Amino acid sequence: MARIGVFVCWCGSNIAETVEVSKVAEVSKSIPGVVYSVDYKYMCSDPGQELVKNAIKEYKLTGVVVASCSPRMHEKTFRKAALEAGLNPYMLEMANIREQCSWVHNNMDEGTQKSIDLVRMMVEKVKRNKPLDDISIPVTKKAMVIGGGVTGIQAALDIASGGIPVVLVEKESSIGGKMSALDETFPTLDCSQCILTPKMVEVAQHPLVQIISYAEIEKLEGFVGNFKATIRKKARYVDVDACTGCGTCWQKCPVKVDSEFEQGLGKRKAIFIPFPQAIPSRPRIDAENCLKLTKDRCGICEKVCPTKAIHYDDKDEFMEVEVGAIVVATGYKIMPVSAFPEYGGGQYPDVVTSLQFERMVCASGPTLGDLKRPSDGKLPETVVFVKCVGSRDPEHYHSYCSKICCMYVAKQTMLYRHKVHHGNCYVFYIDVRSNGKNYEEFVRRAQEQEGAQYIRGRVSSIYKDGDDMVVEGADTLTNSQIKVKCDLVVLATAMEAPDGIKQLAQKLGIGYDQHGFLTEAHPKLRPVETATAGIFLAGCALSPRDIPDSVSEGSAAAAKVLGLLSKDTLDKEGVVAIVNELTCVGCQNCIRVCPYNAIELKDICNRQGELQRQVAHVNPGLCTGCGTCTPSCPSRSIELQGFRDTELYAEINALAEL
Amino acid sequence: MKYGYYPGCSAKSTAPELDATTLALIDFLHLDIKELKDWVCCGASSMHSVDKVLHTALSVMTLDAANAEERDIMVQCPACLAHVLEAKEVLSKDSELKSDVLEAVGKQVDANMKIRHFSSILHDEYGLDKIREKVTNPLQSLSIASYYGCLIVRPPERMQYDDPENPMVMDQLMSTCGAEIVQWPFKTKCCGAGTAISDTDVSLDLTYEILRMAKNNGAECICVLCPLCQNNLDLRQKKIEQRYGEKLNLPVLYYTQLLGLAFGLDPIMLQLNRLFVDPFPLLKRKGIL
Repeated sequence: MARIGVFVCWCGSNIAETVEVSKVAEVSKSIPGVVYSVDYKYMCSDPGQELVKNAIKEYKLTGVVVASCSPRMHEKTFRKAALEAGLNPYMLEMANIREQCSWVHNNMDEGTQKSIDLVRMMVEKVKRNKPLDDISIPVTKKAMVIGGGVTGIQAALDIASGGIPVVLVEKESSIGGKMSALDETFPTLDCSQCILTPKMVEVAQHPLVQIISYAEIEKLEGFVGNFKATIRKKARYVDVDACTGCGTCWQKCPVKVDSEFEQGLGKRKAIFIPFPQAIPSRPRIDAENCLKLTKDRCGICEKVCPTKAIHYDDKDEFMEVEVGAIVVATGYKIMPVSAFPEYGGGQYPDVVTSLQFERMVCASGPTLGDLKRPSDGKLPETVVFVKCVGSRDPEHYHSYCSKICCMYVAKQTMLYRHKVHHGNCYVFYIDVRSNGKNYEEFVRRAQEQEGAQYIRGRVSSIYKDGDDMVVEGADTLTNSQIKVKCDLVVLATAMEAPDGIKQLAQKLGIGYDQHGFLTEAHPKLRPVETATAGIFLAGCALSPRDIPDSVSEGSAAAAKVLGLLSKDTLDKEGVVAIVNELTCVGCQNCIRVCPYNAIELKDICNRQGELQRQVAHVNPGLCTGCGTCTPSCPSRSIELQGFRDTELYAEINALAEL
Repeated sequence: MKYGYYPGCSAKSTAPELDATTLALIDFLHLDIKELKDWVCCGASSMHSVDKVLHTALSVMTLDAANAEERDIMVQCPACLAHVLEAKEVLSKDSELKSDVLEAVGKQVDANMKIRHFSSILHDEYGLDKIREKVTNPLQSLSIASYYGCLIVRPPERMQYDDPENPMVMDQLMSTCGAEIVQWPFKTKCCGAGTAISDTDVSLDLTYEILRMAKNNGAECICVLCPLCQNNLDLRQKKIEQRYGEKLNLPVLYYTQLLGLAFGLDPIMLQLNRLFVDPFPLLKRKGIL
């Protein structure tokens, strides 16, 4: 015989103002099977929970209905209390009389009646509930970090420092990301390479970190704690183990092409490392420009290589790794100037992006830090910086703010003035957003001590007049049109999601937004998690961020990974679908509709081991209990535990019988 | 190709050379284009700021005139083009304005016709290849800056003319005729013709900038399509030269006049003598005349 207890919560005045809680408790007593009912001011408080626990023991309850708030709020709380009192937690149900009753109604009589109905429904359900056990899944104690920029490096270092081995996968031939191309960093003006290189070396030398460079994710299977990733190691044409990084090959290579690392301002060879501090310091051959690979000529690098490390017949290789958790730190790209014809982008070499300007002033850049404008090598006496190019412009480009431009433009004005003491620099801006530690002071310094002239207004067009570049725009503080003649224009172009990110997100089964930035599980409370358990996010993969935020998030994601992998097994709720193998005909409807690929075919064999038939089988580790499969089954052979048909029909009948 | 020619009031008053050369080209190229009998002035540039309904009604009457002759519409003046395209937009979906306009016109008018600028028709319907075949008097070594003005590309979603930042229709027509084309940044900058009467100084400043930029980029003459631009750049050039103390001497020709020259049409028929800045010395020096 069922012995059900009903616990009606006031939630202070939240419920009690619209629902006569004492009446709900009183009427509940008359529902068949209910042996105890009570109302209390705050059922979720410690005394409230004690009330539930004591009643379970005293009245030997077999099921409990708590009539209070949404199960999203406190189901866990009460189920834990039930467990502590010796009752299977799945024998406790919530009747939501707050969000779905008192908060949306204002008539006391109707609110009370509806609450009684809701309680009656849940009593009928809980009478038919079956005790469920939580599921325990073994865990692979290894992690993968995708993206070897400063965010991914930080995440990999923190995970490895916690004793968990890490595979760090980088798309380019060296780790280091965008930060390795920067000159100095705000707000302290320390040299980017000087602070990044030690981290790169540390991660490369860490015994628990395996760096796989020039590689991409091909496929991901499995689920939290038990992922199996296939990594495509792109053909490098250089045996990284044999190669010593001596540099003879790239010194002798006769092919010169624009260097991606130098943002097209400098040249590299067809066999190259992107920058001198590259890690691993092993070159790769650019197959599109190599004479040997395109025209079967040259072959100099193979001849000069002292360790015979060059292999022109190299092919893409695939490797599989099993990991328990994944951090996605894929970073960003910036819009090229050619996206802005109204600003002469792509037409005039003296209109450059901020990242190009970084290379122009950087001591390791193509001019070794000697500031020269690209068209004629002249020292720019006047520079105009234009902010919000492509950002905050929903009419034409992106609606979002790229967040870091205000700060790096202030920094770049200082870098410029430190190189050209007599130079003029102007900044066109919409707002100055400097909300970070010591950021506002930094911008003030640029304006007040370093001589940057800030003009509030947007730029309408940029063109060349003789030798000069002319920037036309509005000054919205003096309400006038202005023209600035200058030698160089720097466009702070928008940060964008990197190429291929959507395909990667689809392979990983994680979400992305309309801009291609990856989506966190909750923007405030779960900022580095995805909706897919075991996959975490960090840095600019989510949206534009500066270095401190990216590094913090790398560490945050690492902490999440360490938390997840600290246990030998993962426990998850028993609310999963189960197939009745006796009635399943193997029609595969459920396999087609399952959004989590949690169902597969299972062979049923006779005693001789001969295949008799195939049925559906749910992988409880992957199943999220969404219930999509159950209505798709024509023979009702797949049922979601905790939401079986008998339970749900009992609920509906309880309402319909009234 | 079956178009009704909508010349607009400028071509029939201040810019007769545009009208004459248009008709000459239609005749020379044997195009099935003839002037609409019942076209109406579009009301630019005053009507649209005075009365939205009557302003739209004027252009709807021109659409109606094209329907009567079962022809698409070919337009020469960018302001006329903007207004008939706007009228077509109004008729394309139900609104209070549409019903008011149709009431003013007094009849139902459909707007299924194509509406295009003459330069677009020549460029992509008649085609550059066929134009090249007709060139008998190439505009060799003549450096031409094509100036489109502000109206023909704006608003881009309505005008659908060409790349609004860097249109190339006239440039390609001119290079097909053998001319050197000048790449310059002010192709679609406003010449201020709208303020030429009310605030002449503003207009002079803007026009000077355009002329100076064309000259600095190596232009020997300017090719235009808008009668107001032509007027502003040509008629006021002398005044600008005096005001800014700079000799410009840049003849301002319609693209139709330059095409006619390349086709070997008679310069008097092309009404080159009507221009204020005399193009004859330049054309003779280049051996084009």
